[in-house]
Amino acid sequence: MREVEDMGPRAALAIAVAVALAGCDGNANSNGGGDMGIYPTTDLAAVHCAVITIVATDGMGNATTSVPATLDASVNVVGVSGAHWSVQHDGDPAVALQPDSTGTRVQYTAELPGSWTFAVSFDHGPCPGTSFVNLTNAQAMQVDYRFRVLPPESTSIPLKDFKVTVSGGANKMQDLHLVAGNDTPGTLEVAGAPAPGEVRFISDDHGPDAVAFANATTGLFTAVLGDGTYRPLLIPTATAPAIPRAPHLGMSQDSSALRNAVFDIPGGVAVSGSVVDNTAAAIGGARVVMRTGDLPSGPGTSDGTGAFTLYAEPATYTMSFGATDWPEGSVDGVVVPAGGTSASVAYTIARVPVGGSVTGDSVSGARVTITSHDAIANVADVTIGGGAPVHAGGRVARVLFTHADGSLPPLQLPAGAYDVIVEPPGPSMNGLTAFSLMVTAPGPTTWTLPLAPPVSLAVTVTGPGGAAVKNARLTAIETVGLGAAPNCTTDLNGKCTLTVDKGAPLSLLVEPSGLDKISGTRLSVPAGGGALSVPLGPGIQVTGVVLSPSNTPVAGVRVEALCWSCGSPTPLATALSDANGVYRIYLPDPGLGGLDGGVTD
Amino acid sequence: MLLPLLASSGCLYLDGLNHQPSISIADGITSTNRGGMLTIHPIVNDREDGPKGVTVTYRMTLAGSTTPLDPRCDYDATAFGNDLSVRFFRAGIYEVTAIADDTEHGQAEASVMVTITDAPPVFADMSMIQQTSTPDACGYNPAGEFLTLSLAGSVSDADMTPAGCPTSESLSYTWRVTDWPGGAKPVLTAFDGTSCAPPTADSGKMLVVPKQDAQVCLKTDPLVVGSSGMYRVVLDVFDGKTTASTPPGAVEVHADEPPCITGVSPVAGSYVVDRTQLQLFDVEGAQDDRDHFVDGSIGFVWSVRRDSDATWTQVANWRIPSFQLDPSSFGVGEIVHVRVEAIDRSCTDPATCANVACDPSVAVCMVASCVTYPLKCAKWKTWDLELR
Repeated sequence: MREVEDMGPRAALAIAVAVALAGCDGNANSNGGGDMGIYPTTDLAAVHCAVITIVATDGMGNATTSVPATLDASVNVVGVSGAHWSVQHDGDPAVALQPDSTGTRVQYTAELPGSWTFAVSFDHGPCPGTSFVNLTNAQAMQVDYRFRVLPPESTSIPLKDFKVTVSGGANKMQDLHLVAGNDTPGTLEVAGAPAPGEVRFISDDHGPDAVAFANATTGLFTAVLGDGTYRPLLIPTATAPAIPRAPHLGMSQDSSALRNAVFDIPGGVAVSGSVVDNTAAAIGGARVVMRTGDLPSGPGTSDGTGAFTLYAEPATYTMSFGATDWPEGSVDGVVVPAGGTSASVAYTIARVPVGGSVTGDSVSGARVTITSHDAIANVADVTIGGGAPVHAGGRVARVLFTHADGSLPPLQLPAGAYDVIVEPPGPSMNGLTAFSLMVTAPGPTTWTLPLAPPVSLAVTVTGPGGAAVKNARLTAIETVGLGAAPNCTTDLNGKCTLTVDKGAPLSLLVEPSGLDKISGTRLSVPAGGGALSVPLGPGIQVTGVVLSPSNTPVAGVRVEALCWSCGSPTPLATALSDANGVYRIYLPDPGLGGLDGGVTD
Repeated sequence: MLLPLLASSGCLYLDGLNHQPSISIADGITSTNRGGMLTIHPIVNDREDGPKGVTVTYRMTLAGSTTPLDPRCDYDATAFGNDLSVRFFRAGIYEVTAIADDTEHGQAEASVMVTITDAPPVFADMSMIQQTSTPDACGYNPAGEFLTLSLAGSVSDADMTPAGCPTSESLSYTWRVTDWPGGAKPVLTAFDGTSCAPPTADSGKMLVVPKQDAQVCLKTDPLVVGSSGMYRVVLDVFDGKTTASTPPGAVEVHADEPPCITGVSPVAGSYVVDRTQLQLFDVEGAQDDRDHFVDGSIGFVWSVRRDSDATWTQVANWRIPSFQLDPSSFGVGEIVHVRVEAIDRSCTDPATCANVACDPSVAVCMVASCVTYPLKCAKWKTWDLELR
């Protein structure tokens, strides 16, 4: 496509249509290249068919792909007569068109989006031909965003979400009026006694949660809620293993009904059991937790005999368990009845001693993350209540630190494939290094983990028309280990080079200067560095003023544009309100198509 | 022959005797600087002609010199009647002689000695050294940074030399650091109108500038002792013979204040989180006396620690105000702590900073800061995550 792009958008569109739709009789190639043009004889007309070129332009004469558009259809022949032209919109009846004096050209103004098909036949000339063009309605294409406004904590104004709908081709003004929120005091109790803990009010519309912490002695708390409905998630602090302190997820209620509420939760029922290894020996310090949606259980930790007790509200959970040097596992459908139940975990998987060391500089205290490359089908048998044991699948997820000489601490892992990430402590000549390693039975296995230096990722950012985009901020968020977020700003040539860790895939956030009126983007970049070109499209500017509850502009407020429908917490673009409270965010133009507000992110 | 004539007439007629005119110069101002105007006002009289019949001319000589005075470069005199306005352009003691002539050419003289001196440069009233650079957000001058200074007011020299005469005098302007905090090695550099020239090997505590209204840059040093220090600077003006100086301009500098985190999301505290969900943390705002949250000059260090870890692990190369943690690599039920600490230009790596703000075990480290009210703010904040 490079050659086509160099010819300008109008020519590009014309050629693209011609190539895509060339010819009739199923022989597109016969009409291409030098065959297009002059049809001096009827003999030639018998073997060459009309190739219609369609050029769509807007009111300014610029090439366009959206309505309204003037469609100029023509065939490049001479000496024809008896031309019959028609145009058809999608499945509508065809409309006859009057050609110009040569019979080779017609014009039509398309108001509706969709497919427009031109057909031509001649009494004397080439055989009939058809071509079509698809037009969109940029203005009608809309994307919903969630603008999350995070006022500084010092303002005591709660963060708030706004639904912002942007339409194709149109900038948008939208003030973001914060509300003071409603102080919602309450008391957290467990079985009638004040309890400390986390009190989370979960918004029913993807809005931000409101969180408060109940006082350790009084159980009092004050949350700040907005309008709307919330579900209270009450998580009392598990102060002692023997005290029932199961979390509770309440019913959805209007925020006004939650004010001054006393949340006296029962504390749950006991789930007791044991954790043993594959020789039936007790595993102390194993942790067992359960969760169903937003509702977790209380924590369970095994003692020296392998016995544990946790408290949970009666429900059906996914139970997860893990222990140092043992894989984690989980089983679904764990029913906790009103009277409580028992749960026993018996590891069945064998392990292999694994040793090794990290080599290179900064090997002491390197952080090593070991995860199973594939899920392990059966790590333990879990018995719930009086039921039959069920196999629990799982995986290894371990974090450890190297000794001073770079050696790994004693380690046992099931046989299998592993992803290993080594992060040397800074400052270091080397960076995060990824390994794919095997553990084979019966072992032992020794790993050598040479650290690798970082690599360069040279990025070139271009805007519409291929122009260099300067002063764009690039942040490469590494998504393995603890990660890293190196950043740089493009120079006058739209270039900047990031130093990234060799083994880390990236989420590259590209944020052009607001002055450029182009949209930013976030894209995934595989590990390994190299060169990368990032073309950016025109941006729809959404701007306005962040206003306090008293209607005064608020400076220094962070505004994040999030996907509305998907609930993703990852911002697509961010801005900070200036001294006048004005924010500006540039988002992709929905009229250009292919956008979903970040749903696929 | 005459005698018989006299005898025959009987009378001898003789003309009256002409008296000398009198002249005196009353004591008055007899000294001034070069170019200063003096007026010689002689008092004259004549018995025969009266005062109006006396004309006065002047003669001027340089005491101790026989060289004739140059009426262009040495002096400039204008007579008004018998008075004389005269300016001398060279320092020295001059004798001004007034010569009275009556109509009968009787003469008398009177002299006055006039002392002409070099005037020193003189600063206008209220002239002083002023700071032209803007203090930081706390109203302080930052130690270790450039300050710009200028003369508020003016300086002049009363001496005057006619154009083209060899004794033309010019003033030179020298800025000088007279006092500085212990351990500091301040230097002065030129200000080009927009920025300060970087110090060179030739930079020192004195800087000559071409004109009196030129701004200069004072490069201060970070404080070695204490949280504030004082620099004093003067402007010397030299006319070739005499130096005049401004009163010392005092500039107090303060040590860099630690940056403050003014808000985080979620609110720092203890949470039970779903270990299958990515956890996001944001700093919503930060303040500092010199650096700024908006432009990224306030950075952040993110650290992670499990309950089972002895120390915090700093996340390498992560300085932006947002952080994401994938809890799935941690163990079931583990408690993981995430900490964010603000950093500024004076301390980019907390592990190597001279002053540790708080004990690492403190969840929220409050430090004194001039930039926030009530003068305390959070250097770091910590989230506790229980992975259930």
